[in-house]
Amino acid sequence: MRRSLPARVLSGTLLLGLTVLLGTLRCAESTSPWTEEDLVPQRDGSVDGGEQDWRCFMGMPKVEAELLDRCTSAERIDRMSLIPPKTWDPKTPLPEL
Amino acid sequence: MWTSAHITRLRLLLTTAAGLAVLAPAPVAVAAPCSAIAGAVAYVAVAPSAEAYVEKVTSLLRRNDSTPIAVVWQVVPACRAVEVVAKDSIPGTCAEGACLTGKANVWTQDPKDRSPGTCDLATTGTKIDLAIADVFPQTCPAFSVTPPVGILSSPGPVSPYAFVMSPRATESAISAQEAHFVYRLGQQAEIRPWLNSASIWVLGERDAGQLLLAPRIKLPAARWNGKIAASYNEVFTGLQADPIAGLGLLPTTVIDKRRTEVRTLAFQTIGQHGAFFPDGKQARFDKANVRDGHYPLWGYLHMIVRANPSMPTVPLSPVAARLTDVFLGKAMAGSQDPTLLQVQSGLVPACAMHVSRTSDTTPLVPSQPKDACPCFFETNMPGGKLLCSECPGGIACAMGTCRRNYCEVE
Repeated sequence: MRRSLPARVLSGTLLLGLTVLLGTLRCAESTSPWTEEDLVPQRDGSVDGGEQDWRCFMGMPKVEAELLDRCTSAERIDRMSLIPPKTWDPKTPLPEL
Repeated sequence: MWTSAHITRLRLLLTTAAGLAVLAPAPVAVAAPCSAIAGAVAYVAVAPSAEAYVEKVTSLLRRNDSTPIAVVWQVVPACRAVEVVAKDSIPGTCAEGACLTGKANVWTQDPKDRSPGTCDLATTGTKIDLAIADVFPQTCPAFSVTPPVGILSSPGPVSPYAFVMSPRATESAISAQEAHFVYRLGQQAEIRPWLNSASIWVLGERDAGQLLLAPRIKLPAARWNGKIAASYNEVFTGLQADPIAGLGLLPTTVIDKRRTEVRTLAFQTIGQHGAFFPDGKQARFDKANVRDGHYPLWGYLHMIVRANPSMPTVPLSPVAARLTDVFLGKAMAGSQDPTLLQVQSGLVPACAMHVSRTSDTTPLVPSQPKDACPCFFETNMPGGKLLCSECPGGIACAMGTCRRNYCEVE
């Protein structure tokens, strides 16, 4: 069954709107100064030489968090915490003394 | 007439005299009072991280400068250096906590002397013209509640600090959270490999390293536990004695000269993803991570002097004003640029930094010094390479601005 002209116009407009929206979202994602999510830390504490992907900041840093995690070719060590769970639960903040 | 018997007796006499001379105690080297030094003299209290820099500059000032000055210095913990100037509020006498006593160092005028000599400060205490300390004055416990008054403090080159273990240790990094529990609980924290409280070395709450790290690991310097070391040498010895669990925190100006004796750990501060060394690569001396903000364990070397009460922005003592300018790299020492001596002493000149901070507890922010000198630094650091154009005599640069004979593009 053929749809009426207004229905077809409405569908076309919706499709166009969806396409524009998706395009905008993709643009927003690609201009984020942060890289993709970090890889799983190495248990052996190995040096990755700055080549391994990690969530780093690619833009012009303005605050300390962006400086600390700015993308770099420097040696970086990514390993699991050595603190046993009975000493500290990493989901909680460090106790303020 | 001399007979053979006479000669034999004379030989015996000479031999006995020579033997007695050998057996006699050597004359005890008594250091002269520092007050006996002729000419212009200045007194400086120096934090241990700055000792190598002070040695270089003061040698030039005594021996190679057109206006020579004998700088007498004593090495003390950073906050002790701050205190001797900040508490020196009574003219003509030593207020409580001001002044220094004991042995001090000074160069002779003789260029053949390759190391400084010593002299005795007054037993009643000697007033100090300049303190060189790698913390902001208000970071020190004595001034954390009430900031010091009547002083001028000028930040200069950067003094980084690093965690160290024995070269035989296998760990390569430490996080702020791990350091918090290691220094708070010692072996009771059960964090491998730091399982021996007697090998967790600390230098006290007047030590700049401890004070600079404290806010990063959320553990006030006064709450640290560990084995107190009286000197950096004791830390080096202690690390050798316990190559598995020994841990220390030392300035890189000291570590870099003794790299074969320790293993430097990378540090991961709170909120950071991954741990970094002070240098871009472990074997280098470029302090790349200090300079670009990946590594936050450092302090400015401050020049601290008494202010003139009637002109609070002017140093009270002209000699202190001159020394401040020299140690900041704003005035020459024996016609040499002290900024080069900063690099050669393991410090990072402020002009080579890309980040700054306004106190020891505030976050790092990006910054661009007006007289930026990254090329100068990277050329002159140990193992450095020329990565920009030179402009001897200040000739025009095709790209960038000529500073210190290098075309700096920043």
